[in-house]
Amino acid sequence: MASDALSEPDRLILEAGAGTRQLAPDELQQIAEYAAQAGFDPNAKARVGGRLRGIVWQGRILQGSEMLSPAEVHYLRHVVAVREWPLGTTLGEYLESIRQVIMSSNASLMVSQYGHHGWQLGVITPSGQWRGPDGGEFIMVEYRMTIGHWVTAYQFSGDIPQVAQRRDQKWLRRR
Amino acid sequence: MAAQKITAEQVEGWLRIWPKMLVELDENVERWDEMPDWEQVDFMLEWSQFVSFLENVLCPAYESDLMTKAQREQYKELLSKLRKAIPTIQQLDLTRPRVALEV
Repeated sequence: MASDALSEPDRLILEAGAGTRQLAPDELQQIAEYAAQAGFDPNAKARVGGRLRGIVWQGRILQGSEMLSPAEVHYLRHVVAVREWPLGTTLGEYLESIRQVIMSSNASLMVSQYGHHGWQLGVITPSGQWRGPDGGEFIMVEYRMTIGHWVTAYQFSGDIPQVAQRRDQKWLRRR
Repeated sequence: MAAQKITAEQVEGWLRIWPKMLVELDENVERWDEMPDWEQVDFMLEWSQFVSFLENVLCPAYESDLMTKAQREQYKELLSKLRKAIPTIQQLDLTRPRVALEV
C-alpha cells in the first residue's frame, strides 16, 4: 500500500497533523474506512521475541528468534499470551475486531508522530464485547502512514498510555 | 478517565507476562539499530501499554492489598528488574514507569 504518491486519506492525515486544516465528518469517515482495510502488513515479518517464546502455535513451540507475520505476532501477544480479548478469540476475529474499532462511530481519532518516525493515526474506542479477562476498558489501534498498515492493536485502562517519543498529538475527533 | 475495577485475572496475567517483556527489552536493545522503523515504533507503543498496566493495575493492586503473598513477591521482583532496566529504558527513550520502583 505504501507508495510515493500519497493516497487522499493519507494526505488528509498529513494536513490534519500539520494543522493546516480541520477535517469534516465525511473526511474523517474516509480516513477511518481507509485505515480499517489497511490491516497488518502481509509482506512483513515480525520477531516472535521473549513474550511469545514457548507458546504453542499451529502445533509447534515457538522460539524467540522465529519470524511470523505481524498479524500472527500481535494476535499471539494480545489474545494468547495476555488474554486481552475474550478466551477463544480467533486470529480472524481479532482482526475483525480491529476493523470494527476503527469504523466505530464511538471511536476517538488522533494523529501523532514518534520522534523521527512519521505520522500515525490512533483510534481509541471502549473495548466492550472485545474485553477479555486480562484486557482493559479501551482498545487502541495505531495505523502507520509510512507503511500504510496497522502497527499494533491492544487494550488499556485509564489514560492513554504515555509514549515518551509521541509528539504533535492532535485529536481529530474525541468521544 | 474514571478508576477501573481491578480483577484477580488481570493481576495474574500481567504479573506473568511482564518479566517476559523485560526479556524482550534486553533482546531488542541488542538489535535496536537493525530493527525496521515500524518494529521500533511497535515496541515503543507496546512498552507503553505494559507501563500503563503496571501503573493502573499492578501498582494499585499492590498498594490496595489485592495481591496474594506470592504475587506481592513477584511484584517486588518485577520492580527490582525494572530498576536494573532503567538505563536501557532511557537509552531507547521508552516510557519510564511512574510508580515507585522501591517498595
